[in-house]
Amino acid sequence: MRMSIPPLKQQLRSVYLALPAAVLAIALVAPLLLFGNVYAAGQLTQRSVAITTAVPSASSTWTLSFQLGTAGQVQGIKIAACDTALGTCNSPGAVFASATYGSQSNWTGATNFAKDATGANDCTAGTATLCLNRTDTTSETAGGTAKTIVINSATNVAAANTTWFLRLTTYSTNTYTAGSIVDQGTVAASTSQTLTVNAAIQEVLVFCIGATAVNDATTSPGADCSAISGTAVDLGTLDSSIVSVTPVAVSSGGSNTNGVAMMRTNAVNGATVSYRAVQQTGTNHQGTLRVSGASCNVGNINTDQCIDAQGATQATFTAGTEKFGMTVAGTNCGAVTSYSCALASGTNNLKASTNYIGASAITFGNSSGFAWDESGTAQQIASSSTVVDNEALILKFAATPSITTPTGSYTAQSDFIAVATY
Amino acid sequence: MAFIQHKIRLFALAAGVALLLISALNPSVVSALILSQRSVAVSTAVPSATAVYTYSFTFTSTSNVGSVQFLYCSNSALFEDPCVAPTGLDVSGATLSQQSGNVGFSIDAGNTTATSLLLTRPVAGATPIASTYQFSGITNPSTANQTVFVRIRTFASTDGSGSSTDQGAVAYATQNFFSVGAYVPPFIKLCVAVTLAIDCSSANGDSINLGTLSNTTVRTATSQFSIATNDPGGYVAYVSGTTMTSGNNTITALTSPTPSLPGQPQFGLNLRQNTVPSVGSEPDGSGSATPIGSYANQNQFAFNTGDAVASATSSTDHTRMTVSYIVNIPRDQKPGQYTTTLTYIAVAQF
Repeated sequence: MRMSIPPLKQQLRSVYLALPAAVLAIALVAPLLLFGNVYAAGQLTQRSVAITTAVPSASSTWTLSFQLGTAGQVQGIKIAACDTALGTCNSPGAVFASATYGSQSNWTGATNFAKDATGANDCTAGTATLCLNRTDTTSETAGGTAKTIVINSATNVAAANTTWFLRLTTYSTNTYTAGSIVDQGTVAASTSQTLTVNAAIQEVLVFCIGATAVNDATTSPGADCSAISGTAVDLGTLDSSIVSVTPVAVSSGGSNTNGVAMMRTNAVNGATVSYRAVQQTGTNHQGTLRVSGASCNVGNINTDQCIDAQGATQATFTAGTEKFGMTVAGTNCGAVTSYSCALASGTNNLKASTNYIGASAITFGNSSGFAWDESGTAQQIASSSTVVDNEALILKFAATPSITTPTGSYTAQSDFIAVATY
Repeated sequence: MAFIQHKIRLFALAAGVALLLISALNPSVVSALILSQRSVAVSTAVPSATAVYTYSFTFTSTSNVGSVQFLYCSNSALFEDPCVAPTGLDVSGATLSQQSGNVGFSIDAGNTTATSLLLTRPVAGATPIASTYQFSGITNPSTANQTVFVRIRTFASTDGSGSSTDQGAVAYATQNFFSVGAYVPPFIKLCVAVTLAIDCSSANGDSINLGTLSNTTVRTATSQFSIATNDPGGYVAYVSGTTMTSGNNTITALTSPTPSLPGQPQFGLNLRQNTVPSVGSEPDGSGSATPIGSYANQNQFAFNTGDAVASATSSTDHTRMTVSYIVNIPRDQKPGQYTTTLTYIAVAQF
């Protein structure tokens, strides 16, 4: 009987042939290996790292999540931070200098891992290498629900838009011996530069004066100043037996309108509305309801062509006792959209000032009388302490002549000024 | 010899998870601090008018300040936006009439234009206090109903160059004049009655009964009228009518002021309080009218149709006149019902 035994030469040839192949295989495979050393390790799967901030150098919480590739006990974990996923592991920075063990979840073994400040064998603790270990021989399951390890107070790398890698290794022993490597895997994280969104809101002041047929605090005089028009109101034909108050009917020679002053501003420190009686031509009482160019007398004389202004202090008028004045009948909220506004509730932001409150702070009307400062000094008629959204002051004008007030066309002119404090 | 077979497990490189952080609304990185409590008040908002502008704001930083710029723009308050000059605005002739808080400034005419005004001072540290600066002689923009923005910046330099230390914008609005019109018509008011209120608010009676005439005793009566007017030239009141008449018989009217003489044919009147006979009252009311001519004499009576009986020389409130009538007859006066109708007329020239 003959046993065929390959000759030694042939065996050696085979070896010789195998060796280069093995070397070649290794050489081919080596670049594909993630780590520098070749171990008989399984692969962590479904692995990721979530960081709470990508701001460079920021302190961050890192949550590692992975499925074990190999069932068995896991008593040691090495997390090595590297600037590459392959080859030599260079530190991307002292990412673990302040790191602490946070928590874990979905581990079969109940014992928590703890930060090993020193490490051993295959895991040398450092600012870029974190060693975690425990004593728990419970066999962990492979696959299934991903296990997590939370690392607190890790430090992102310093450079923006930079990727760094965490090479994970699990050990069956808590002394990280090379022979106890179970699984390995690498995850990556990246810093980014912050994306800044800029927006600017400029100062806003839209103010207008005009005429309106509105005679209450709720009917909108117009959505905004673009809808406000007119430069005058007409009190019509005066009669010493009555006090004429706007709106005066057209049948009485009037314009059937009140005055209106609307404001919109984002001035958080509030705003004011004032008027200034324009000084007309003529002598004396140049800022009242008068015949332009007329020579009037000093004092309250009822036989000249100047109707006596009420003055700075508000008062009701008596028919036949010559007077002219104005009041804020109320703040109209009809065009306000950005907040709740109602005169009756006192929720209007723009409020009439003393001596120009027509009826009351929350009532529309003119029962409290009128005022008019003819001096030409600006007089405040309303103010707000905050922003205003198209609130409109309804202005009522009133006049009554005496029986001796001379005939003529009388006019008063005013200059309305808004001041906003940002 | 068995081949040593290495099980090489390939490790895939997991995709890194990178989180891109978007910071929403991070504060703009600006080099200047914001002026607080800032406002501008203009003395008049009328387009093209010459106005006084009063700026108020609180400095924020304490670094050196050598100049303050006020840049006027019609389009935007944002410092990074181009600035469109308001049409018609001219600050080049402004004067600094008042300053408070951070003071020591004067206008840098060389670095001031029609729409940019620069204050300058020797460089000094700023104090974070409220400050005001009032400028006179500024010509408002010529467009009405326009919002104008003023960009305010403080600088360490004295000429407005370099980066600003504090900044902030304010706004104001131009407005045309607003007018109130009214018409006072020409006015004259006359009321006539037996008795009436001075202001004509009430009137009673339109006929007088003198009773039975006597040749021994005068018969008297009164009526009233009241007149007011806003005619600067006043008014004249007239009376018209006939003497006391019964058919073809009349009682002679007194054509000139004459005392009452019982037994003589007399019809006359005056606007006075008389003692012989006792009849009538003086004019009353706040008006300035007076009896005139033949009717202004106490105890003297007359009547000529169309005569002016009272007048005022200027506008006047109501004056109430009391008309005193006398009738005397002779013994041979024909019997009958004697009557007359008198009309009073007031005339003003406007």
